[in-house]
Amino acid sequence: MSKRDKLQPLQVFQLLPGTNCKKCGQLTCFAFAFALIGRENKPEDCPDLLTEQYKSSLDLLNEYFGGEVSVEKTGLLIDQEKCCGCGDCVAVCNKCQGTVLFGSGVIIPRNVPPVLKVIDGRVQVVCWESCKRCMNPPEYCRVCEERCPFGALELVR
Amino acid sequence: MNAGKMVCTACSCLCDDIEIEMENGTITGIGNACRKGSAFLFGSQNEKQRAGYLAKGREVEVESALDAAARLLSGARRPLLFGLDNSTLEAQTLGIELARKLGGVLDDSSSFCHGRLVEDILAGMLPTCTHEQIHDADLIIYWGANPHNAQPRHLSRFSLYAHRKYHEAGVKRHVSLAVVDVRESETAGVAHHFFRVLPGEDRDFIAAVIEGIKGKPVGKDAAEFLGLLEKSRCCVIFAGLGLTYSLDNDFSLFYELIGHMGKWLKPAVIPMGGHYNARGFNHSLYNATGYVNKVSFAGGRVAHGDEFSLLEQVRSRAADCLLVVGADLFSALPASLAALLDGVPVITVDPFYTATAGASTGVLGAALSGLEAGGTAVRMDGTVVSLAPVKTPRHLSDEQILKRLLEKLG
Ligand code: SF4
Ligand code: SF4
Ligand code: SF4
Ligand code: SF4
Repeated sequence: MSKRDKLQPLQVFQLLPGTNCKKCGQLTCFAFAFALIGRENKPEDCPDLLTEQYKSSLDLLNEYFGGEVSVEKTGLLIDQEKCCGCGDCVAVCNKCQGTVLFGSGVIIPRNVPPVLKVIDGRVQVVCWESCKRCMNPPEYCRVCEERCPFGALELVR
Repeated sequence: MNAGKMVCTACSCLCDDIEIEMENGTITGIGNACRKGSAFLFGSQNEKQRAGYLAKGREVEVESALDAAARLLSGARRPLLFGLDNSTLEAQTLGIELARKLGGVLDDSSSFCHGRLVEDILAGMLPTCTHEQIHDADLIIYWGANPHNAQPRHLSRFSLYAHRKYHEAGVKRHVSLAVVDVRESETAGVAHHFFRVLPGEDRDFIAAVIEGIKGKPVGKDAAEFLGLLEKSRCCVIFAGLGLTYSLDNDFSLFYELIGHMGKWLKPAVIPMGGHYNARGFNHSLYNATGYVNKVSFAGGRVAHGDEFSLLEQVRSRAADCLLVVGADLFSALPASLAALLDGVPVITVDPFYTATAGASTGVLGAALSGLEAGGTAVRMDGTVVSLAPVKTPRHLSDEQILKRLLEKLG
């Protein structure tokens, strides 16, 4: 389903010059690919991409990573245009915070304030400290991203 | 200022956890409502979208608009009342009384949507349950429905994610979600099982599953679907418009399947009505007449039949005056049918200035249920929800409008 399609690091890497020249400040082109996905770098940070030869790559990369976005402290990128406020992510996040009693299906809740809330029809992070990715040690949960029917959520870190 | 919780009336989920923030009587923030609900509530504050009181296209006082509407109605010989799906139960009761008094025809959108299913549920012919009973289910099926579009919070509030035993990481899955649809919709995309049927071929799919139940060899999809049913002990089917249209309102084969399922599991069907109180209309009319829609009160007696459906009434140019309550008829009707209404006076009761209001002889702007007017409504699963307004209305409620019309008609 196109709406949920995402660029994989390898696909991003394949659009880059591949010379590992370090001019972007990253050690390798592959590291730059990850930095693009994490929104730490912008496509124009790679000087070679600005040359005529890479125009089509740059256009494609700009389409994905060019816009102004804000990544939440949890590494969550919310596409406000795509989000319909269904609250599925809110519900599954609250559920995934709990622990399932083995085999019984009974869920013991973890008593923390919800990470997400739908406000004015779009989802927002209201308490990022509750995200399992902010625990010590962190747990690399992706449930909200996986269950969003519109591909509006992306965990970029 | 936090004005507290209210019920959203933008769809048949009737979410009752909507948080409203207001400043000087204006909504400034909405918590928990989906995009559809928020747009509906914020939109209600845009005066350009709201309907006022009009008679023959001119702005008039409430009283004269009511008088003009009453005159049109009392002068009509075959009035048709359509809508009431977006009205409270109280207003619906008055609407039925009005149709009775006028000796008119009464119908709502359920005559071409889910009316048949609700009728059979009310008659006890089709097993159903409420959203609260979803916790018993181990299989939830959306058939011909994409709630993420029409009832966006349905999964998170009432079905899969609200299920007590739903957990993404559980070792064993206690509840599964299956979708039968013609395309891979948003809901299908998050379902555990997706069955694609070709447009109009739901009947063939059902027939194949029934063959499978009888032990005959069937195709891969039907066999997989049957496998899910066989493992299930309690299954809730949310029947969407896709199913109704595909079966062309003949549910006999679907009922046969439910009958077979009943031999080893507990099946329940919930029709996914669209308008917030569409199911309520069916309940109200059923209680009053024994029918859920397509009713005529002509000659002081109750008659029922397809000739009293909106589409037939329009097609045969039967009505000589139309009262439309809370429905945007002219946007929904194909242009060829709408043209048949040329010259027929239309009176619209609606909070919003819809295309129908624009084409009407008389317009009676109404308060928005849930936000500006209270009452009760029936959620899609048959549960009664009360609406408590949080805002002072500038318009009469549709209940008040219908009451005033009744009074004026004497
Ligand atoms: S500047 Fe461009 S070519 Fe050089 S390492 Fe970075 S991404 Fe690769
Ligand atoms: S981010 Fe996705 S799952 Fe969350 S509310 Fe928006 S559309 Fe629903
Ligand atoms: S990553 Fe997990 S814990 Fe964090 S917001 Fe998403 S669902 Fe909740
Ligand atoms: S799901 Fe329906 S009732 Fe609930 S907030 Fe959205 S539009 Fe309103």
